[in-house]
Amino acid sequence: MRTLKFLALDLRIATLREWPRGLVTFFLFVLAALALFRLPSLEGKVPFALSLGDYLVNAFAGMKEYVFDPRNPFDYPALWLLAFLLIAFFTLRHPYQDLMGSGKHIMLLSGNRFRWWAAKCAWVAITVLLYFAIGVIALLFWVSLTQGGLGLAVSSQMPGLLKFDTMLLVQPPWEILGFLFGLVSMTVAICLVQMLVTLYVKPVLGFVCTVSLLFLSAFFKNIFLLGNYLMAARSAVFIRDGLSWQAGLVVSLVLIAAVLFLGGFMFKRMDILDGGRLA
Amino acid sequence: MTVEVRGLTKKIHGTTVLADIDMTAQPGTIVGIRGINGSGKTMLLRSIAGFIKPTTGTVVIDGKELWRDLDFPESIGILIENPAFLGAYSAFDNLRLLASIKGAIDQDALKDCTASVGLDPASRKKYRKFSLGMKQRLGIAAAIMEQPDIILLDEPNNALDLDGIALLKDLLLKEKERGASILLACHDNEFLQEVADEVFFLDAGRIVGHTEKMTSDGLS
Repeated sequence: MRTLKFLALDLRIATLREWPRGLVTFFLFVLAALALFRLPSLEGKVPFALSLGDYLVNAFAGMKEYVFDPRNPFDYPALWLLAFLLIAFFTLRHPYQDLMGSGKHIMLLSGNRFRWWAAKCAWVAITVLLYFAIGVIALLFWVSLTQGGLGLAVSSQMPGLLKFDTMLLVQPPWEILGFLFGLVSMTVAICLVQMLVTLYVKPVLGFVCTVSLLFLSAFFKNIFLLGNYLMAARSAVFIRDGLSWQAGLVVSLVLIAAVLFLGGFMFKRMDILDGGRLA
Repeated sequence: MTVEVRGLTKKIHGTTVLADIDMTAQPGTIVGIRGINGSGKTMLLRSIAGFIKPTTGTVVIDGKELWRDLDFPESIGILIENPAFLGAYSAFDNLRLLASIKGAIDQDALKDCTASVGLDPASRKKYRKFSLGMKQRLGIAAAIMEQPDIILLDEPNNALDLDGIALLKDLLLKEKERGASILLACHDNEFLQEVADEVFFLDAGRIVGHTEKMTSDGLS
């Protein structure tokens, strides 16, 4: 019960009071949609009715596997990176600041360390879910504005437009619901791991770890670089030999459970030192 | 509640910050801990609060051992280091938020508590605009608001003006009368002499002295 009270406080302090972040998220996804909307006409192709599925794949496209070649410059997927760095940033500071400040007092009053930990894990998960929910709302807003389709069907032109490896393209239709589900779950896992690093070391290092993970994921296609599971361009939904979203889901759930229980077990035994740092 | 610290030693990264501390705080007493900056006063209070795990030794609260039977003492109020509250909330709202965890006190009691430290419960002034003295008063209010059995105060007279110090003394004596076990870390000898029943002197993490207050009948 007190875990829920903690969570309610977290949502009040770090989510409701930070409502402008919701606006930033909304505009980021609208901007991403706008970029795609203008893409067909820019490339001189016949515009087709873009659906919600198209916009979602665009937002989380990432990039095809990069093969190092001096004649093949690395074209970083800026939009993809921005989308995930933004949520990593939104979940970065609150747990640390809470532990430094009033959260320490609240934890003491509750008499239990694990409740505080569990509430912070739940807060991270809810913040990630809210982030993607706002993103979907923003895209729905854009789709209704442009009279696009509301379904998750992905147009056959999309992989070409988004520079997927069309040689390896799986035959349509592409079912993206599973990919999206795995993506949300993996984002929760990455943000939780970031929280763990943040609390045991420093927020800035937690963020550096996330940035490094995403950068390396763009460079290398590797099942251990978790950012790969966040790219439609490398998903088995679209690409033969792509990463399976089911495997990503399993990995993310294992990570979430590890952070919740092993992290919680560690947290119960750690010193809370000056400035909230653990040792 | 009786607080017993037995053979408490704490090493952090190879450095001994507390060495073989033994002390007891009985209900209805004020135990002073005196020492210069860096002598280990705050570390000792943190250990008693349950924030720091002893390397060796134990902290026992009414027969229950911290880190074995309890995460934190069951009824405790603390003011350790600088009080930390939410900057966008008023004094009363900050206290109300903390009180919502246990739900042990009602709004009227909370208002009384806010007023008892010289803060206006009706004021909408945000914590971030508080003076250091006001922050300290709010920290004291948070420590005592639920009438805890154990109260740990680290330099509670810091940043307080003369009125504030007089008010703090009154509050401490009231809490003592109520039966709270109070541990008070302070480097102000005069203040400790006035309020504490006994004082432990800490230096480099060790107890280097101990005095008990002379009572009116001359017994110590």
